[in-house]
Amino acid sequence: MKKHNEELLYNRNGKERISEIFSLPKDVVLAAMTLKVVGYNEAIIENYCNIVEYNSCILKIRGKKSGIIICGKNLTISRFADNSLILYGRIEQVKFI
Amino acid sequence: MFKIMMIFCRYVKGYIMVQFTSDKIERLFNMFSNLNIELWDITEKDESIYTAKILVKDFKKNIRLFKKANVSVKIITRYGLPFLLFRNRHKKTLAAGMILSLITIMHLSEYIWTINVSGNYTYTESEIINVLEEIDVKSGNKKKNIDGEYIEKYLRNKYFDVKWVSAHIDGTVLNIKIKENFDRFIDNEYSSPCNIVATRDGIVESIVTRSGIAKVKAGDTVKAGDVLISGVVEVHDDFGEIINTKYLAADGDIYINTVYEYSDVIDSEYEKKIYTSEEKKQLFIGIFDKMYCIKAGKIKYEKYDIVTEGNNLTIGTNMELPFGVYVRSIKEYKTEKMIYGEKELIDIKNQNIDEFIKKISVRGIKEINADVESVFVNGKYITKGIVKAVENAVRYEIINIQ
Repeated sequence: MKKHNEELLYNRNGKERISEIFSLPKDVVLAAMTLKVVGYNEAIIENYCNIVEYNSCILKIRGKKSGIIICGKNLTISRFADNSLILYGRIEQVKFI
Repeated sequence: MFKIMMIFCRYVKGYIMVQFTSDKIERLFNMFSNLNIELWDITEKDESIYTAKILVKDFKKNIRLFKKANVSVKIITRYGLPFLLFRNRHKKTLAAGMILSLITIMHLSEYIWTINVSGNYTYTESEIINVLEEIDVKSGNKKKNIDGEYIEKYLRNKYFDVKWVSAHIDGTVLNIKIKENFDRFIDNEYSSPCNIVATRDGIVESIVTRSGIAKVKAGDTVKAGDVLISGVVEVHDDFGEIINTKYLAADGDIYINTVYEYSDVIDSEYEKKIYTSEEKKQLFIGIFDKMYCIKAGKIKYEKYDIVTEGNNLTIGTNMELPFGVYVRSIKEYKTEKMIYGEKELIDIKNQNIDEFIKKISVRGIKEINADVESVFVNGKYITKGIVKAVENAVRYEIINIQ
């Protein structure tokens, strides 16, 4: 069972394969979060579900199946609307959970 | 560009900077995100204290959310056009003045205030502007009444040696660009039958006929008005009688040896202007074509030069308005009688001859040679002689067919 679960984690599921075959955008088909980091002071996150925690040192965001933690200093949310968010500040760490 | 539009829209709608105080601010953010309410510039100022910016209408519509999320709100600053108008609500004259000036500028931009002529060599700018006044094209006309194509056609027909004309409007300026034909012959603009006639007396140097019947040959003496190439072609039968007459546009290259008489008198005595340090300035305001003096001083000088400097007000590069500020400088000078030296007289004589040659060499001159003599008589330097030129002194004459 454990081995089966581990296999599932690393094997692509049906939706992923369909999106690859038909060249469909994965963030739409799989409802996955997208993270774009520009340099060390800008990050753009899209397709997230909600904000778990925010302060000037940490931003925790949860998506449909995963989450992101961004650690840094002087973190400011420059714009946030419509399931997309732009973060400015000194980004030190990005973790996926 | 998109960002600029976004900033402009936010300013027009009006937005506020608010301060939230809460331990669990994320709940409020998630509520806003679900309802698609925009927040921007969210910063943590202190522990549990955050600032953010929000549109006024979004704030007013969702005040209940703050209570639901257990967040206390305080408005810190107000930005945008609605707040600006509210702060200046008592300054009605200022607003009225701004609106009136905007309407005035918009109204004035519908007229032409300046005519620029470029590319002209033989014809001066004022000459072309006077010609345009014949067809009622002048400063102060409405833009929609100006027909560029008609102006181009009129100028091309008026001046035979202008081969290209462009008339277009930029802002409140009418730009006329012309290109004169200096290369060879004046091109015949007509497709209608015409003769080529001489414009000056002389001896034919060379003649090449492309269309029509040549009436002269190289070496013939011609007078002004003589037909050189005829556009009338007579068709004869076997008995020599004329059975048909054809009319066509004569074309060809003709060079005539002509002679110009040259005469010039230079006075050896002249008055030299010596400017003193005295200068007065006057300030004028120009409104449409008139100048009104604001600051005038009495002019006590016996002799003076007036230099006026200034420009009409312009918005951008092409939108000239019919108002301007001008400064008139009045400079006093004294005159002193001087006498030209021999070298100076020769220099002036040569300069005058060069200018004369330049004037007659405007188009189609192959060779030019000046043969002059100068004498000094009674304080005057008199130059006389002839200038010989080989030129295409011709014009086209329309044939009247009856």
